[in-house]
Amino acid sequence: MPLPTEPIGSIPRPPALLDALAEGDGADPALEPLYEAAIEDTIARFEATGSPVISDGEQRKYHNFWTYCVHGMVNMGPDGFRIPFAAGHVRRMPRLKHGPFRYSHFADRYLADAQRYAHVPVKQAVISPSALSLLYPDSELPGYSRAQFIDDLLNEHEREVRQCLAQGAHKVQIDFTEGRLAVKLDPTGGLLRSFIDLNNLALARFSAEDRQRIGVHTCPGGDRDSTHSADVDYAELLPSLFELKATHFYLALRGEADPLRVLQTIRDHRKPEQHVFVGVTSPIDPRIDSAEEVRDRVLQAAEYIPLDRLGTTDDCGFAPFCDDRSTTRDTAFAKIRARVEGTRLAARVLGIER
Amino acid sequence: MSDDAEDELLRSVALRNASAILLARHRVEGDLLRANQALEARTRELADALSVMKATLESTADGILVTDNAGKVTTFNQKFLEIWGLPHDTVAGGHHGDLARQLAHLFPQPDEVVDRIDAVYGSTAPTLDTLLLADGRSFERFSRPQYIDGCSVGRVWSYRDITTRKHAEDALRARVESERTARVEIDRVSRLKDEFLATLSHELRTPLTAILGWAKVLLLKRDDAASRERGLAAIARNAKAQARLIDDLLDMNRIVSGKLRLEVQPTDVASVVEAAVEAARPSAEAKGISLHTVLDPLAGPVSGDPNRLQQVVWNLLSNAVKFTPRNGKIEVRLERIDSHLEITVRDDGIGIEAHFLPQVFDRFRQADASTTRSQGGLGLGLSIARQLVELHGGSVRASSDGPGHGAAFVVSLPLTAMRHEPPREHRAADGASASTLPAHPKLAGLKILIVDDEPDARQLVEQLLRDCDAEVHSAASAAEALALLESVRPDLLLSDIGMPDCDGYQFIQQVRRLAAERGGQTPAIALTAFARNEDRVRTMVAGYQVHLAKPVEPHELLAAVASLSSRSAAER
Repeated sequence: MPLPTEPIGSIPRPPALLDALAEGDGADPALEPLYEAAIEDTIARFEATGSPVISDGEQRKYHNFWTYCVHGMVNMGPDGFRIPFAAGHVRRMPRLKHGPFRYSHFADRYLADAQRYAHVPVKQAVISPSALSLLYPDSELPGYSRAQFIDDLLNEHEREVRQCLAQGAHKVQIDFTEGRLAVKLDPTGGLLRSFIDLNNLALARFSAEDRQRIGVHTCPGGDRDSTHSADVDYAELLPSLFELKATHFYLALRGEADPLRVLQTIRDHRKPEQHVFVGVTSPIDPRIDSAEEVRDRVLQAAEYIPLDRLGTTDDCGFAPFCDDRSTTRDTAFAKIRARVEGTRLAARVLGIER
Repeated sequence: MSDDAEDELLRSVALRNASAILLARHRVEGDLLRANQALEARTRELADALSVMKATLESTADGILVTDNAGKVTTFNQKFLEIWGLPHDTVAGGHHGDLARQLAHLFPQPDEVVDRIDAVYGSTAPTLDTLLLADGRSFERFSRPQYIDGCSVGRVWSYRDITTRKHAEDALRARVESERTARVEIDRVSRLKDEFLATLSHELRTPLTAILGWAKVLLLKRDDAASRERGLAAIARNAKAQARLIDDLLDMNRIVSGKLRLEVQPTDVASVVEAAVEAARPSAEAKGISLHTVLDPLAGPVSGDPNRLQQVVWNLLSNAVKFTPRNGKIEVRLERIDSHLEITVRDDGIGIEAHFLPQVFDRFRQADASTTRSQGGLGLGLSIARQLVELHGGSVRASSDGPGHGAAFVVSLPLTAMRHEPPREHRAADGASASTLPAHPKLAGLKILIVDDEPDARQLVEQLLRDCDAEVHSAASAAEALALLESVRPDLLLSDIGMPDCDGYQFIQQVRRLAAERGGQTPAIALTAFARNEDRVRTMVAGYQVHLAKPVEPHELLAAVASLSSRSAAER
């Protein structure tokens, strides 16, 4: 397909797995058959949508897209910061109790599992260093400075990305959902700039060739059909976002109140070499868009983004937190199918696919 | 904790992190700056190194070309462009194979040039080739694989102009070869000289033996008329043979030194051939060889020296008689072929080996040079014949169907467009004179003073002159002759040249210094064994009127005496 289309990552887990997870720890070896079945089914259904690039649906990411990499570490406490969602619920993050900071899980393992079943390219999402930076507590940890933490964080992130690249990921997508959250926390933009700096410190460790396979995803969060920072103007984020030294950007657009304004901002701030995958489906919207509606959104985006730099994606993962039951797998794949078909229709209209 | 407090705490965490991130960024930027500075320094070093490398490339006298493993040009110097006359843009970024094809026409074997370069690329060893260009230039091409960190990255090709060195080597080689050839030639000539001297000694001693032998016999048997007749004939025959040897030697010497002068005149070759045939006929008939002559009546005259042309024919005939067995046949043919006259002497004799044909006209060469050879002679006759023919602008060639099948010698002479006039009288060949002695001139009343330190020679001349009724006075030395000059007042002096104390030159000079009334203008004949042209000239300059070479034919001596005396009488 000349007009690329890729998912963001997560797919709601099968009910059996959800039930098992609700009753115990996600790392319980007894869950292994359920994980394996979930992955195999997800890959099969993903490929059935016609999507040229798929993911493992993050079936094994526990407990969520943000903290999977430190789950089970003994130096993590449960009382970290909280993320309040618009729907009124809160997600609480872990807190680093002492150094050194290390990952317990690296995403390349999920990639390798998916590749065993996949027949098309598989991409892999990883959490951004800036998101994980919030694990360090407010007060300085004795014997483990914040600066040391930042170094360790960058090293662990670099290792994870390199392993995914080495494993043959079609793309490595860095989830940067805290971008708008940073603006919300610090309207002066200083915090966002520090997040951009931190992520650029990580990206700078990769060659230009590597960065051709590295992208950044941002959205206002998505959990239980709700967001954590949709109220922050995208225009506050995008100019800084395009300062990231990544090649590909996966931007939520379908759920935006004023998509044209977002597209104009993208047009004004995107650097020539940067590819933009615009979100054309909304995981948190229960309604399933038709392929024609998707097509029209693509055609609209094509007015602001050069065709050779344009792609489509979903606004967000369909279940970034593993216990999210707000969307069914059927709905998720139906939306994905609409994205794939709508993108193809648009390509035909644009004359780049027969 | 309230929601606001939690938000504030998160904000606090994030902002504290921001400070740490900023520090990290500054640290990385510092590292980056230092890395950039190091890179710039390294870049400057590399640029300097590159400049030095470029300067080195340009300072060498060799043309340098550097290529990668695929043959793509990566570096070259100006000298390379100059050597091959290539523009910079053609070489820069070009391919070695393309350049080779472009330059192939400069080489005598264009295809080999490209093939050889391909072969070198297929090798991992250094190679050295010598390139010889069609324009005469020569180059040494040295190609060595280039390695960086142990990995082969291509080859370095250097082209060194060795044209001057090659020419010097070639010249040296040619000189050495020339010297070697010269040494071989010297050895050959030396060997020929030794052989010749041995032959000469033999050829001179053979008639001398007969002369001495018969002379002793005659001394012992003065009254035996039959012996005297046979002995005198033998002495005369052998003396003539010896004289012929000496004539040949002198002729060859004159030819080699370029001093032989032809007395060129319109010459009827038919007469020349007839005279030569008649001269050779006695010796042919002695062996029972039939001598047949076929003369083309339309053969025109040539411009030549009749005496020398007769010598040529006679030499060829003598050679034919010598190598034709008894009762054989010799044919002499004269015919006109286009603008040439051809004289062919063909025999049915022993023939000539094919390998010897090219050398048959060489000096001192005889097919059988052994001491037991059946035929005598110095091996000069044919060589003299060729030289004389070539002096006439002609050529001579020999052919033979091999041993036992005879041989043919063909003289080709250019015809001359000229007014047809009768040829002058010419001297008869020696062979002819032997059998046809003219009547002795009468020298009655002529007083002749003979000067010769050699009694036998002196007495022979005395006898000859007295036989012609001359009044003969003799002196054994120049001093004795000077004394007699004034007392006898001879009509003619006949003096040897080589004499002890005072030679013939000094003698005549002393005579010429005398007043006429004391005999200072007495006509004089030099009778000497110094027979070269320069000897003749010297005698004339010294004061003699006539030069006669020993041995002299009696009738020539008498004719010369008669001629000079009558001429002098007429002048008086």
